[in-house]
Amino acid sequence: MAERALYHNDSEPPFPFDDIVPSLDWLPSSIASYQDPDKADWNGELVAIIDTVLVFAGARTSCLHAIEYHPICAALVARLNSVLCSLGLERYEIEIVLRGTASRGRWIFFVTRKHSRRFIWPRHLTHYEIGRNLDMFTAGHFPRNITRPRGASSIIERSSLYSVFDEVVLLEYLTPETKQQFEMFNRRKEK
Amino acid sequence: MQELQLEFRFIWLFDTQEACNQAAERMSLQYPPDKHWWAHNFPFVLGRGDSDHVVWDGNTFCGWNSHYELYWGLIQRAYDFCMKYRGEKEWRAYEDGNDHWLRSSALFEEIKEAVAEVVDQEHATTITSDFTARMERLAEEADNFPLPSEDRPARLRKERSTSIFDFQRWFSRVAQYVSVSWEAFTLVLLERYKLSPRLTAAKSINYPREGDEFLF
Repeated sequence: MAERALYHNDSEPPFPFDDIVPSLDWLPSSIASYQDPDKADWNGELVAIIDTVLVFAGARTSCLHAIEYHPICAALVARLNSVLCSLGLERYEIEIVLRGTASRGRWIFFVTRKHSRRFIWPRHLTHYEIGRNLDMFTAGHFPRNITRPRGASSIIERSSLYSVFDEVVLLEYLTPETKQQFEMFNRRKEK
Repeated sequence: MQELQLEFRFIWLFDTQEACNQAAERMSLQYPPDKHWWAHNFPFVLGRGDSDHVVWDGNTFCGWNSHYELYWGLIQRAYDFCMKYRGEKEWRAYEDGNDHWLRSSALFEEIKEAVAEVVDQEHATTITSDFTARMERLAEEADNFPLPSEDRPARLRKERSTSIFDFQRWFSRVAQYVSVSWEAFTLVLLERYKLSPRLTAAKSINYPREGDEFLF
């Protein structure tokens, strides 16, 4: 749970897994339909689906994907929301938030909880705000100069090695103290 | 994911040159690492993120649950092979029609299957010798490839659509504009709670000026 695990926000109620799981018996087979052995290096559809499920369960504040994955995520969001509504758990509903501008060729979308108190909603977002929406520790690390020493922090799926979360880390900003916080913050995401 | 009874599990990877170097150093030691090291570093062993040496195509010679202790010699040999013969030069040979890349991918697949099985030490040694000999043959072959020239991009890139009028794309854009307009309307009239002050985390780390630029 992002709110509790990452931000120590205990005022957020825990996600009612016990109530919901019996109504999600269709989910494993639905996800399996996106698994494709021919896409060993990258399977964007599957990653978008996994990300949506992570947001649904509250493991992430939001996820961000290219517009080409909008149809499959929209269908999943609708189905998950219908489960929540049938159980009277509307407060956990998720929604798709379109962002970008067509003129600059950047249509993208977030998936987040409708009632998230952390997600930043306005249309125009800075790199820092987008990073915060995505639970990045190094939000705003957007180097124009690609020669600056940097690393990549990723959360990857253990079997497929698909990356479900990536952030750039400018190493010059990591002090020994912040490096320790950075490691602890990201280790909590593994769970 | 566990609570949702789904099979996916996640690990955090901090990919830096230093991490790749540390993995290389660990891989050169004669005895296998402990389970904790393996669980957190096996992607480096597979060349994931080491773009200086490896063109990542998702083909791997072991996984998080491989019996690396039993097959440590084989894992080391496969790691060396991967670092040396799964790079730009071999990828370009593949693009030029050479099937070396595909044969080494197939060999990796076989190794991955083999190291998932528990066998006795003697059998493991035989398996290791067999795969090592096959990797040596592939290595010899790759040593004779020409050096890559700098005049073309190394990786396959998706061709951009050149059509001037794509009805589906046009329709999708209109639908997106309608959706965004509707969102703005509901945000102001019906969902004003979304504009209330947001929860913030304690400021943890500085960022460069570019971080305050608007992406869109």
